[in-house]
Amino acid sequence: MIGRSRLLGAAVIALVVFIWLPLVVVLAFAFNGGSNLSWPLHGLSLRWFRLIFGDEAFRSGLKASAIAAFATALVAGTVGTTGAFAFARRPSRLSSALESGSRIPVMLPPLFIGIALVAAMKTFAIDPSMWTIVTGHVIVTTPFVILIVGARLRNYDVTVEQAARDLGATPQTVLRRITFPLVAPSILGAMVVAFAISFDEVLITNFTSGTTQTLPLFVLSRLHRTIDPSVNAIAAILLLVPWLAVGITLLWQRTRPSRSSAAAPAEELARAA
Amino acid sequence: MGVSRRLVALLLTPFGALLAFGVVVPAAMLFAFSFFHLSLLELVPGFTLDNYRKVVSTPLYRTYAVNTFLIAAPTALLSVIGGFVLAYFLAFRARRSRRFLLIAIVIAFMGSYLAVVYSWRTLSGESGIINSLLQATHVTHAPVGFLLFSRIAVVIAEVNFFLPLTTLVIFSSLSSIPPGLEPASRDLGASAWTTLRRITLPLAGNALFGATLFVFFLSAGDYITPVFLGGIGSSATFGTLIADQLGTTLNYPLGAATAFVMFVLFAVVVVVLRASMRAGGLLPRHTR
Repeated sequence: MIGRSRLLGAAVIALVVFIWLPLVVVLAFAFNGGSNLSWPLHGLSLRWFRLIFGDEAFRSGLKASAIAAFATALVAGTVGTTGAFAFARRPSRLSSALESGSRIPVMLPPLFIGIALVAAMKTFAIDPSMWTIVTGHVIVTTPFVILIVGARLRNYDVTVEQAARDLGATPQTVLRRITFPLVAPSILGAMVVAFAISFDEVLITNFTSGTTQTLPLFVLSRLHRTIDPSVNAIAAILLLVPWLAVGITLLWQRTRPSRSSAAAPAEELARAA
Repeated sequence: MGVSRRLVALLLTPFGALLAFGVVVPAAMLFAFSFFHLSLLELVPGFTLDNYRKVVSTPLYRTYAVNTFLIAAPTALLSVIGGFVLAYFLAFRARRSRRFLLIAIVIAFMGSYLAVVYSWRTLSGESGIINSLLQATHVTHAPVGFLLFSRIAVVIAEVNFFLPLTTLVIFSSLSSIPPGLEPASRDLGASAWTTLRRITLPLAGNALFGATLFVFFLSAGDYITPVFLGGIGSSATFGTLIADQLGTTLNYPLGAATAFVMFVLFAVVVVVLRASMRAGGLLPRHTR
């Protein structure tokens, strides 16, 4: 029995190391002083970051990705939250059909969404632009917002709203003073998740971007050439920006007195994924 | 609950419109395209089954199908097996390490897909870290070539990318199993293996089924990893083929037809997987 649990422990350690290996390597080489992509490293330095920030194409890619990610977070946050409210508060045949439909974009391979958008753009003569990029991102991120906000709406105590009504609050006041403050942390968490997904989305963006080059597309164009150590720094940015966004949100929520746990969005995502 | 019908309709509109104009209409257009044809590189509406005929009858497409399966199937199986091991540990064995492990996996889950692909290229190149380590420790004397530009390289990177996802999906299913169930089974005389086979795995059956299919689809539709980590033969997947037809060569009708043939093949995979999991007792024999 001890042998077996040791074996399980060893497998778990091996798997976690395996999962983290490429992420650690990217981060290590991004801050590596040498230009060889082999072990050992040659001291810490920011030379690759300095190099890429001096590159005009990189800066415009970063800007495009940031715009796309912020816009996606706003739009998916709005569309997803309104949808989640409708699903949670008034289940009807239409809304439950739509709710099961809300999983479709997540279940389809991004490639399929990308080429379907290509077909639609071709049919309606829509030129690729930031609008089409954001549309693609909103399609894949809205289901996550619905999932996260919907989970919060389902396990919260509706009686507080009824109590507020009994005490004479108008529906608008209840929404503003009771419902929204209770759900807001989840909405914010969901928007950060949408931001994070959008920031390194590439499989759909590749089809909807036209001449706009987002950061992942910039990396993709660099991958076609020979191995270039500065790509590590860009890949590190693709990793760190979403992590920082989520981390800062969690910290900020933790400093505020709130009934819902700070890690709620991540946990709800994990539970529903 | 004090929410008027009109308000609900208003709340549903944005999402309904997104689903309709972002997914349903584009998918319908794509389906229509698969019956069109090209004339002088221009898309001509019409109705022809030639595209489907070409996809089904050209031997090259069969090679693509086989290669896609040889990448997607091991990727799905390894991701789900590895995910189950991690999820099992998290749900039933981990004590103090549980929170730490869960956070480590959620953070990795939010990792960048491109960063992983790029990193494996650095890791497994002939002068990459794995080869320099192997040579430094005298396990091998010459660089190991099959780690890069091969089917194995594609599978390793994709498993790496999907593992956090499968772990979280299976964990959420395992954590709803009452903790007393396994000890009860052991008390009644079942071996650890029987308990796993007859109690734990069937209770996680739906999650295992869903995760396997999900990873299989995503892997088959991945068109970036095979190009950058696969060799000349192993990069020939349906994903890269379709991406090429709709992104580069702009043969929309053929690309659309390929995509829908791929969907039919997906459906076959769903049916076969369900049947074999039912036969193995991992899924209930009758649908609920």
